[in-house]
Amino acid sequence: MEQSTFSNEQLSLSDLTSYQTQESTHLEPAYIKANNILRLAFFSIVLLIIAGVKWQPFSPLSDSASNVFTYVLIAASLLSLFIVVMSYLYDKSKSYTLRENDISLYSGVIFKKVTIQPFLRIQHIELKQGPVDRKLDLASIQVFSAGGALHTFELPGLTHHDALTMRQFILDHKDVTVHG
Amino acid sequence: MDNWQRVSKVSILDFFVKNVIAFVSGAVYSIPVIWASSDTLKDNMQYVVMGASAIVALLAISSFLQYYFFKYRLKEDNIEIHAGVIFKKHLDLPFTRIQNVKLITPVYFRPFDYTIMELDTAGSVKNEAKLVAVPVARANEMKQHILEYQAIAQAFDATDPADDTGESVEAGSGEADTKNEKLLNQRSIVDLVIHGLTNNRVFIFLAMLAPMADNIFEYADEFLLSFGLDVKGFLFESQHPWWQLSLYLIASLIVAYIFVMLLSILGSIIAFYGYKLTKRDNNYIQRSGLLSIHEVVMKKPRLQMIVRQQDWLDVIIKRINLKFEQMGGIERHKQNSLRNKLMVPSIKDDECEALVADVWPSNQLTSINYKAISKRFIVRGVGLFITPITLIICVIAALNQQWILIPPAVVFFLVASILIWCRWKRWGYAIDDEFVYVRKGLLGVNYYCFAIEKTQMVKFKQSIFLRRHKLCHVNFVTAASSLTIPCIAQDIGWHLLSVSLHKVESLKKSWM
Repeated sequence: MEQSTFSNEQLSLSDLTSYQTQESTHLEPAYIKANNILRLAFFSIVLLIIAGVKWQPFSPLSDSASNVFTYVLIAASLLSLFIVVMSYLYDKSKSYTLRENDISLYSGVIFKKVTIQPFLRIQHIELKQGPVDRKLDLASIQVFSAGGALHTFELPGLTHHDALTMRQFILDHKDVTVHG
Repeated sequence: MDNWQRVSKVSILDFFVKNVIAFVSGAVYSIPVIWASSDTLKDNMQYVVMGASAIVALLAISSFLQYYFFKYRLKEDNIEIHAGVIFKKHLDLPFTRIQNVKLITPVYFRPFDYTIMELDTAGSVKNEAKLVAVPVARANEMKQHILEYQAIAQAFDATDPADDTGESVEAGSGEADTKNEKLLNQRSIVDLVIHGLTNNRVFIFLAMLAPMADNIFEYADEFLLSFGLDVKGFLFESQHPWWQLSLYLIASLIVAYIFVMLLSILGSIIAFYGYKLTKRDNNYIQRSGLLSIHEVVMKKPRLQMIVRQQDWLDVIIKRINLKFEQMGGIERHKQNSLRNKLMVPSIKDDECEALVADVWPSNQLTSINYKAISKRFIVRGVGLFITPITLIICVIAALNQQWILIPPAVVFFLVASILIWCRWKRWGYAIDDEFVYVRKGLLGVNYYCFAIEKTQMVKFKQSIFLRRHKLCHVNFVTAASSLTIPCIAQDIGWHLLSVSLHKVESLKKSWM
């Protein structure tokens, strides 16, 4: 087999452990910001609805019911705050690295996770753009392997241009074109 | 051969049976209505008979139409199917996309010597092609044709090492019957009874009865009543002393257990009766089944993972279930996964070893030295899950002054901790030049093994707790399923991942 051109071959095993230290690219700030605003908007609406029920003038609540709603409101606010902060940190923590033969995705705040997908095993790629993504000219890429839908490699928060370039790069990669 | 053709008229029978089953399972919910209006129905018996015959006639007509509109044609390199009465379906399936050719022979096809041919594709279940009622000889011929085509296509495929394809092409000229198949393993009734005892196969039996489940429970109740056994009255209204009640309870639990065991044995026999695993060239063929004979074919390169399973009872009586996993173990075929998998039930150790050696000769599934995972696994389990639960129970008990709850909580703590220790003891991993091995279990023990070059994707996971102790979980995703090794040193974890990625990316071998 003509494998002579492969460039990873001559590396020693100690060099290969560099997956943990290699430089990575973070997601687009616009994506993180948009995500934050969307989440804040969503939780504000939820909190507003609860507050609306508590203070609506049409059929005033009994004292005990009003009390219950106070607790619910406090709990919901705390939970929302927690989710918003954690999600923000989670988005911030996400980064990716494109290498010659594989793509890695780093994520996680408390539970750190690194997912590495060799190009050789890619079945197909999807480029997705939601309404907000379109407005901000963002896109996400989904990479499918034979590992099944549970193990789809998803990389959000790229500019549309980057996503297209990346898709083309992966599709043109010799491993994908030969083995796909 | 290029012209459209219909399947045999016998297929009407199969369509009819499928329609009746669909109708009955749909009509199960109307049983209460029918039962409630049974008096009215009895008075108008002639209408009931007319209605019933109308339904049967309708089902028969639709079966005939299904048969009439079902056409297929076989070309050099693909098969086309036209089907559907109202919703037309046109399927064009190139042979290279076919993952698996299965022959299923339902009990009502056996006298006619016909079979159902199922062509599995890698795609969704919807795209599956099914040829109902093909003469057995013709089905074998077609299967051979497809396999031959695939073998030739593979031989031309430059990416695949021409390791064993030559052999398959050569053998293609032979007959399609079972004569040149080499018998690898077969199971006797005794083996199947053992299998039923050690593995819960009740669901196979229950799945067959599902459409009638409601009735069965109703009848069971009536049946017990007819023996003068009034369960409700017995439990709540009698003045029996407590020891008598608990004796009855224990006795009935034992009876129930035996009953379930019997069902499980029955299920095992239904699924695996006449089990035969044979090999022809590079294809492993499994045939089994009491009512419908299922045939599963696995091409050797398609094998992703070998699983050697032993439940605690299996460990005691030294029997093993050996599974050969092909692709898509997780999502596809959820319902009758057991019948679509290649599994040799309840074999002995030497048989298991012989089979594994036949499939992957250089494999060291049981002989390799497994390394233990970190003892932090126990600390984590006890500290993160068991202790908090015990403490919560104790605090609640103390606050309510229910001191009687404390001893069970302590017992729970001890038992759960011992179980975590057992789990830790079973965990083990190893790697050699070709394979990654994982051992896990609680009371039973399972061995997993996959070829490194068939890895689809790898994951590295680390929580704050693990990071502090320089530990990690690693996860390998293969086309069959994913395997996690928890709590190992992070250097070793990265090493395992790097080595496997390097293998995948440098060898560039196909995973199927």
